[in-house]
Amino acid sequence: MKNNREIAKYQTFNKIITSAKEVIIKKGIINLKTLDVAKKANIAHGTLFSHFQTKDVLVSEICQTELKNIAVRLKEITRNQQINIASLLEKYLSLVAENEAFYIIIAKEFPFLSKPIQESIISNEVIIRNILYQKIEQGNYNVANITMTISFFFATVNYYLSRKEYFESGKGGLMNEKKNDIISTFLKLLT
Amino acid sequence: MKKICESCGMPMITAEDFGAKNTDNKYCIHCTDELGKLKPFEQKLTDMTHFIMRTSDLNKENAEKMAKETMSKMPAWKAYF
Repeated sequence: MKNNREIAKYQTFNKIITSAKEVIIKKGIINLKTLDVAKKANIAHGTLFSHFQTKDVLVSEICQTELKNIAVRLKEITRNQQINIASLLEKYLSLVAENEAFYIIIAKEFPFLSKPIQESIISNEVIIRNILYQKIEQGNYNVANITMTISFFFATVNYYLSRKEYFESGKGGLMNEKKNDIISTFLKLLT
Repeated sequence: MKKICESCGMPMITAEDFGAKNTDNKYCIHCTDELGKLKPFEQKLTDMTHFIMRTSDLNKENAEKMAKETMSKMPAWKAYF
């Protein structure tokens, strides 16, 4: 049972995360200023640093939370042994679509992010990659290099995300427009 | 039953995901021995490095870095970082 102080601390923590994510979507990670986050969260600038020592720690926490959430939801659907790789990829791309603005920032800015943030993203992507890897492995596909095949998938997704303004034709979101084509092309790599 | 392994961060959903298939275990099947006991740090670091190399195509040096990055944030290995 948490006391009132712990509850307030937890609420402030979540408020910072939510506010930071909103600022990131608007301004990007590179241009993120902790002062803007504090203003958005309606807290003192110093309060933010009592929860997150640096901007890198804050951004790493957000990336970790986002990617872990995707990993958990993918893992949940693999409980159903009948689920196939196409359905798993469809779920993954739908989850990306739900937070598309955030993943566009990651795709566009990744090369310019600090090492700690990059490492946080990669180490959490590993968990998602493993879920896909296991599903492909169980499927007995005739694929020479599962790891690289998965990299083709992620590279394609990032390619479209990083150039969204050139590929999106409607208002339903780029991933929603492209996911069926990405999945059907990927499946051809597995035959 | 949904939990995150406190050693490697893997989501644990079904009993098969938990160490010794015990859903009270804080650690996953990959981080524990057959009795559900957490593996030693060095062994886990080696296992995780190889696991990352296999699934992510990183070279050994970077895979080990990622493994350390992951483990450093996990409650099980706090004392090692």
